[in-house]
Amino acid sequence: MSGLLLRGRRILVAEDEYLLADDLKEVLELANAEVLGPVASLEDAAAFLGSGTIDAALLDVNLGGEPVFSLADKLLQQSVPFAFVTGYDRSALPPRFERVPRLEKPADGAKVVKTLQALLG
Amino acid sequence: MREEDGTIAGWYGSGTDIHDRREAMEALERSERRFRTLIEGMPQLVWRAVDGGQWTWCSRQWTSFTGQTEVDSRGRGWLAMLHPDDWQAALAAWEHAQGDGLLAFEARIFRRAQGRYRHFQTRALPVRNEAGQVTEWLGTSTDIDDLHRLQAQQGVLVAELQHRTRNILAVVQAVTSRTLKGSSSFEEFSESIGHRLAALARVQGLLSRRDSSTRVPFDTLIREELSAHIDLDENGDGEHVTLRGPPGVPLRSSLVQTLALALHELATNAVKYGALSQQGGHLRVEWELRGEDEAHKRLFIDWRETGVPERAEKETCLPGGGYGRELIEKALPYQLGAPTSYELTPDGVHCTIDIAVPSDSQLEKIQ
Repeated sequence: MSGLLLRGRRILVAEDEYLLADDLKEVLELANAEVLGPVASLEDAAAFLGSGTIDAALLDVNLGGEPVFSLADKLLQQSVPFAFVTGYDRSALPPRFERVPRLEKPADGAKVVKTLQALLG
Repeated sequence: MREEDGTIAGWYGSGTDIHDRREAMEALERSERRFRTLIEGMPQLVWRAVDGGQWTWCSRQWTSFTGQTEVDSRGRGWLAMLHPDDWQAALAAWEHAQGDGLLAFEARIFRRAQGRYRHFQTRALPVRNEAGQVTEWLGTSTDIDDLHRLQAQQGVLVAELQHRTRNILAVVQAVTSRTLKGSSSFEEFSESIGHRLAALARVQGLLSRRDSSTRVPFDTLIREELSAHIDLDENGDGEHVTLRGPPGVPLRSSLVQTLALALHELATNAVKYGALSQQGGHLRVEWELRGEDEAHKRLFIDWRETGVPERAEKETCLPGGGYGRELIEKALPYQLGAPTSYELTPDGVHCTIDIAVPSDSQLEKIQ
């Protein structure tokens, strides 16, 4: 993996399972991204919103029993690109997120980086 | 017959046998009564209509279900009791009915007693005269609301099952990679990963055995985990183990798995190097509920090993390259804001875990 892939990009990671959040963090840091979080709840994620600091985000669909969609809507409003990292099927996601990339768990590191690259253009 | 002067000359009479007709009429009445009883006894809402969905009559079920009078239901009056979003589908179905010789559509009908709409399946067939022309339609509307609800519930459950399966696979992957990093030989890896997967399997068993409205209690979780390593009696005590705390303290489902993995690492460590590895060692696990406020109770767990004086250099941390400590010191606080401590005292390991207890009012939805 080239070190330049996500250089300096600030990626918000929202995943409530510690081991998975930590793995994502490791993958992103290997690609030279700056990880915001990881956060395990909507409340903790809110701290990063609106400050213009997020370049892109990876969202688990279910954060501590709460659906992540309200956070996803805010990111859409702020034109922050993001992908879902989830075990849920596409059909379980609201149609308004039709065009949001969906990474299946267990997430493959190279695929995560590639997806983010595509999102960041 | 009369004479010319008007006097009666004689009588003629003719008799008609009306016995059969009378019998037939009585039979028809009986048949009608039976028919009416049948209609009024069935659970469906029954109605009659002429072409284009102009109702001419509805059964009592319709009036008592919707609260609309029979008179008001006539013509297109019944439409007012359907959900406005379903009007178009209902009218379109009537348009097609003539050609199809069958009316069939689904729509929500308002139930006055509940103050809400319920899903109904409506069907009708035409009654034809001898020339084959449709004279009217006889229809029924069947309540399929429970079926709809169950189907929706099943959809949620299937999505949930998929989510959990993939999630657990991701956790297995994460545990495996950490075990790999922390193992110095294939044998060590093989042993650790086997035990960790077994611990994961035990907790899945606990989670699936409970029904959806109950939670896994802490005492069950700790006993289940320790029983995998040592013999415990009915009170949960063993030769070198004392368990003390209130039974039935509920755990949040999202916490159970991580907590079980952490307890597994503590127990494995105790068996390998700690209180359960030597004579004179003792493990005491105590737990209690803290907090005044009923809605914000916390479970405080105290794991204390004693009689473990000498610990060699390599045994000063949990096995698995710090994976156990990572679970206790990072994973639990991260996932649930659960303050924890882990300390090696001169006497053995001392670990505390402080977690929020879900109150009854926050019973979990299907996640």
